[in-house]
Amino acid sequence: MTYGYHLIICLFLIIFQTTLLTGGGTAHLYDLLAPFVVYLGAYHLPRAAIPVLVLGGLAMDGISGGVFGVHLTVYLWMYVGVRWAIQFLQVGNVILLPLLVTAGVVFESLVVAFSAVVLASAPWPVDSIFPVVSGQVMWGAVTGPFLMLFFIRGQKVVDRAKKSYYAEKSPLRIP
Amino acid sequence: MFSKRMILVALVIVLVAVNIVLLTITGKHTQAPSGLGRGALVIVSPFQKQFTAFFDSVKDTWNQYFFLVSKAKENQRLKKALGQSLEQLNRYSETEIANDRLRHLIGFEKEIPRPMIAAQVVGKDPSAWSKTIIVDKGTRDSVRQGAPVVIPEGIVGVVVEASARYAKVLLLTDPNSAVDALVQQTRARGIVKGGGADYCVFDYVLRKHEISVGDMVVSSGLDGVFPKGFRVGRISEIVRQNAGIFQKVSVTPYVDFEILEEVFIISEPAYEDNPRER
Repeated sequence: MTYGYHLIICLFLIIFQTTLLTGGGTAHLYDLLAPFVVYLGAYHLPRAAIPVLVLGGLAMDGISGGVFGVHLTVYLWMYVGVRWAIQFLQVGNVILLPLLVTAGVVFESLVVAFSAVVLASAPWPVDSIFPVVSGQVMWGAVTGPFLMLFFIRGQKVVDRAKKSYYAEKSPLRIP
Repeated sequence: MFSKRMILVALVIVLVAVNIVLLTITGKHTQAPSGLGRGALVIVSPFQKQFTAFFDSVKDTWNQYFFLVSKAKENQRLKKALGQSLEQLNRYSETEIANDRLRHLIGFEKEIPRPMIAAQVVGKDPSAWSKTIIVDKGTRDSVRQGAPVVIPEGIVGVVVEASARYAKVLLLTDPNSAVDALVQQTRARGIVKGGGADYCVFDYVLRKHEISVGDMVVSSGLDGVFPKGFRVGRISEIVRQNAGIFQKVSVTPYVDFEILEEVFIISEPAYEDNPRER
C-alpha cells in the first residue's frame, strides 16, 4: 500500500508538472519531485524509497530532453544526503523541515544547471545559471514545505486506511 | 590501517566521480541509452494525454461560455484577415502555376510532396534547461527519429525519440537544435541554433552580407532535415563587431512555443511514381 501511495504521488507529480505547469515562466518551475525525495529521505527506509526513486528518476530523464541520468543521480544523492542529515536534525521541527526542503531544491537546481552548462553536448551560457536557479530556489522555498506537509498528511491517511483494512481482515477481530 | 570513516569518504568520492563520468557520456547524446527514454514515453505519456485532454476540455468550456464577447470581436478580426489571406493566396497560386511552368521549361525536376501527420502536444519538458515536447503520434503513425516538425507559423523542431504511439520533439529554441537557414530577402546563409531562452542565434552569417532587423529567416533545405522555405523567425538583433568574419545575429522564432497545442510532423517523401528513387 505504501509503495502504491508513493508510485501514485510520483506519477501524479510528473504528469502535473509536464502538462499543467508548463505555461508561462517555466524557467522558475522547480522539480516538484525534489520535496517528495526529501520526504522519502526523512520518513522512509531505503527499502521503501529506492525503487520509487529509480522509477521516478528514469521517467523524468526519459521525458526531459536534458542529460540522461541527471534526475536519477540527483534523486539518489539527495536521498542519501537527507538520510545523513536526519542523524543530526530533528525532522519534525517547523524550521528545520522547510530548510531541508529548500536545501533539496537548491541541490537539484545546481546539479541540473551544472549538467546543462558543463556536461551537455550543446552547453548553455554560464550567465543563465543565476536567474534560473534563484527563481527555482525562491519558489521551492515558498511552496516546497507545503507540498511536504501534503505528502505527510497523505501518508497518515494511507496508514489509517491500511490499519483499518487489516483490523477488519484479522481473525481475532471482536464483532 | 584506514578508519571506517576514511573508507566511507573515499567510497563517496569514487561514486561521485563515476557518476560524473557516466553523465558526461550520456550528455553527448540527445537520445537516451538502450531505449530507456522510449520506456518512459510508453508509461507516462498515456496519462499525460488524458490529463491534457481533460484540461483542454475544461479550457474549451470556459472559452466557449465565458468569453463569447471577446470571441465575437476576434471572429470579426479573423474574418477580415482571412479575406486578405485568400486574396494573397490567389496571387500565390498564380505564381505557383507560373513557377511550375517555368521549372518544366528549364528542365527542373518536380518537387516531391511530403505528407504531414497532425499530432497533439500532450506534455512539455518541466526543466528550464531543455526544450522538448511530447506528441501523441509515434512509429505506428510513420513518425521517425529526425522527422521535422512544423506549424503554419514556422518550424517547431525535430523528433529525437519515438515510441509506438508517442514521440519526443526537440524544440528550435533548445541549444541542441540547428537549422540551415537563409535570410529571405538577401539570401545570406547561416545556421540557426537554439539560444536556450525564447530566441535563437543565427551563426556563420558573413559580415559582407547586408541584413537588417525584421528580415525573415527561412530554412534553406541544405541540412537534409527541413524542407526549403519554411519560416524560422525574424531577425531581432544584429551586432557587427570590428574584428571577425561573421556577424552576431539573434532571431526571434515565429512560433510561440508556450501555446503550442497541435503540430505537423513531416514524414518521408512518397516515391510512388518511381520506386527506384527510394
